[in-house]
Amino acid sequence: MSFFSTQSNLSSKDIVHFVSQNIHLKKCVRTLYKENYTLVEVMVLKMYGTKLDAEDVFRYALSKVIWLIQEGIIDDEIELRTYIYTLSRKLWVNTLKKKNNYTYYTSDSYHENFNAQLLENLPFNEDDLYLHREFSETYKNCKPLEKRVLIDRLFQYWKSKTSSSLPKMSV
Amino acid sequence: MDINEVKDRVKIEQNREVIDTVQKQLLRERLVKLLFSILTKSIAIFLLLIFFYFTNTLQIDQFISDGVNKAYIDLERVDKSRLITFSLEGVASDLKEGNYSGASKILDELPSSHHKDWFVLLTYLGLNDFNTAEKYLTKIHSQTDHIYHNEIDYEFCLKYHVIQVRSFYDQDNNHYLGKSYTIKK
Repeated sequence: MSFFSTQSNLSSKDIVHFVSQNIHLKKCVRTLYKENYTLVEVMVLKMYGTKLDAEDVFRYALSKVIWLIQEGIIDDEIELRTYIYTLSRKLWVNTLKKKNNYTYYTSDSYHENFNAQLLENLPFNEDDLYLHREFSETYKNCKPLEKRVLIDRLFQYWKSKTSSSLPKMSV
Repeated sequence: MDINEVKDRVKIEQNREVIDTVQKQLLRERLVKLLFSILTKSIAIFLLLIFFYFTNTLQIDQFISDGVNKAYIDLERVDKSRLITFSLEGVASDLKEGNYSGASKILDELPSSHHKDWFVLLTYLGLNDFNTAEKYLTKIHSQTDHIYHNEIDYEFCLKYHVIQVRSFYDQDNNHYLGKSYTIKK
């Protein structure tokens, strides 16, 4: 495998191997970004999204896919592209549903990279951009804290959120 | 959201930070590529403009006349070969007047010499016979002891090739426009 060649030849399996070992993470992210971003961008733009939405959807979906690899939840017989596209589409559809702006497109569900069965076994598949953006914001504010305190603080924050009636969030 | 979910989401956030870093890096690279591409194109356009300017200002007659001036002919010192010198002088005179076919006729009668090589090169350049001119150009350039060897420098070669290219396109233009094309001989 020519890992340090100018043109990346990393396959899905190589990436799964490296990410699960936590080596060459940036290189793997770079390859996944270059090979899959356009696919997700086209999907989001077709479904009433903006470029900014597309970037966010892609970033959150990709960070989830990497986490799935790290946790060993991913099935390495399925292309990572399918995971990224499926999670991205689900994330964007959930966001549109929350915006009350979702129209069902038959063609979308037949996309070659969309696999609805994948979602059945994956955690956090009801997430939308509102939740992700809010979590990111809270995480950023608590980041200077020590990890254990940070987790505790975030837990307390979300606990109080779910117990009280939430004000309508805006994106 | 339970504590384990928060822990998992924190891990996802950390991955998101790595993605953000890579995204910024890719953006920077794209910007550098764009700047490099603009710079390269600008330089190419600039060089092309210089080439066009150079091509348009370069006069073949003037170039040949300058070449004649560089010839090492001294009538007073070459007494023994007076006839040859006079003939070379005649060639030089014809070349300066732009009478290239006249110069060519005189050159046919002259014995081989370094001066003759130089004048043949200039004459056939004037006649737009680049095959013959190039033969002599190569000959002078390859012989290090040739007295005109040092005259074949980068500047000379550049001007020679510009004339060659321009002559090619001039002929092409005249052919397409259906004009009758005559070379001053």
